Amino acid sequence: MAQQDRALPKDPARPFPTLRERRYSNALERGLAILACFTPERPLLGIVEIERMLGTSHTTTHRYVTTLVEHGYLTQDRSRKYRLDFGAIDVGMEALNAIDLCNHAHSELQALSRATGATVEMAVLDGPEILLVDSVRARRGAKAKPGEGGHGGVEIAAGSRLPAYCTSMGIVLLAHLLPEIQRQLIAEMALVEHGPKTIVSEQRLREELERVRGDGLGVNDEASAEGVRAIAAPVRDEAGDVIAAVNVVGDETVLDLEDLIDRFEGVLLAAAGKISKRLGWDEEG
Amino acid sequence: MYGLSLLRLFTSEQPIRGISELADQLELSRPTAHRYAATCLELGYLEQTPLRRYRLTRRAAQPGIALLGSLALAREATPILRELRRQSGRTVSLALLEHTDILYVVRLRGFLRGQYQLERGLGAGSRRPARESAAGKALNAAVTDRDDHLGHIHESELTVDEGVPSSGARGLAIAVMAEGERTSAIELTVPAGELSARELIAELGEPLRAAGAEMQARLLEDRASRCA
Repeated sequence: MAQQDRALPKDPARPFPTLRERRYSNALERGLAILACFTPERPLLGIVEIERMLGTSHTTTHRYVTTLVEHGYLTQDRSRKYRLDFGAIDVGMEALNAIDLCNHAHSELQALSRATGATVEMAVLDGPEILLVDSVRARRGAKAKPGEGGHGGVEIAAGSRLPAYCTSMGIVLLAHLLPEIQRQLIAEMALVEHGPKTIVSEQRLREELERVRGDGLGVNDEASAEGVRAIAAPVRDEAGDVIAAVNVVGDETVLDLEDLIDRFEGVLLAAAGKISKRLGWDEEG
Repeated sequence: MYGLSLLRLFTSEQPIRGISELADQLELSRPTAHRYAATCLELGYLEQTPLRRYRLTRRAAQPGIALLGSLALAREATPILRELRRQSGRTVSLALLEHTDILYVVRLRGFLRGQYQLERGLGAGSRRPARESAAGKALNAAVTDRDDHLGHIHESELTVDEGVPSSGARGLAIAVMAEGERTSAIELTVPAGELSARELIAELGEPLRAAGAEMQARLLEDRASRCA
């Protein structure tokens, strides 16, 4: 049924949907198809090129292109070829900004939580602290532990802030800063004990950041609270800048840090890599 | 092009919409609005929410992404803007003047305190009234005296903007002009509570001026190589 409804009219000179096609707008389909012909690699197109790409007649193509120009979606170049005009931005860009980091990452975080059976979190740097932007809790009944900032079984929610220096994600985010900014942020921190193994010496913190910058994996070995262990990996944007970090929080079946790394390092790095790829990062490139 | 107007109704403030509001906004009958929505759904430009309302997919943004990606100005500026973000930790943008609005063509979010949640709805492709931003003010001032300065290196003034009080943002911008290119502005945005206008200029004025000069030099170089 749907197929029949959307079939293109055989007569290309018939521009408007007839009653038989009332559930589908060919005019809209054509308009969108013409806009979709333009890419950063192919910013300038003539009528004939558009015709060939879409298999439409000259008359039809010309009429649609003229309408798109009138409404500010296309503009004609000095060479008489067409390029996208700024109206094209309003078709969908504004909402893309509502589709932010979390929308790109959430399904990967769910998959990571399923693969590990553990709680996973994502955070960005917010000065000397980290800001939790998303998390997926471990399955119920799996003796789930709260995230890195959790104390006494209290889970922390998206929007929470935690000190960067005692969390695995914070260590990753600090490690990839320019030295000057890193120094500035460390100077703002009061390094106090949150767990049995919190790094409270500035020197030790610098060494740890140096190690992570080389090796990539941030660790929290009872630094934020007793019994809490987590490992974190960087999320990169299209230019390779580290803009977020993803972690896996060890549950009660995890014996120690080494066990946590052995079991989850591979899937964690793969998940962080996939999120980075969705943001435009090309590891080989 | 009513069908395309339907896609334009989805914004970061109202990313999810039902058929009735779409029909009302476009002054179309419900069946007509439904036909457009069904077409967009079929072609993958819209998706349905569990409550059978609609939201845009990433595909809907493709024309906008293609347009921004083909702007030489944005390509030249991006590495410079990235370096400015790495060094300052602040949100860095490139904006163009479009009538009474500015249009952000690049926007990179900063990582210092308060930057991530500052003006979260704004990104590449967002517009805002020119008079409400440092970039808009810098661009308006630059366009006014542009003709006097073309052809030689222009010393742009830094423009500070207190922003809309509710936004909590303070901006610092500089216009970048080069013959044969649209005038653009580089803008730094900081949480108003973190830096006063005076501190903003003292701390970030010089790096911003340097970024503006570098971008201008690149554009002129680019033009020279095209003309050669």
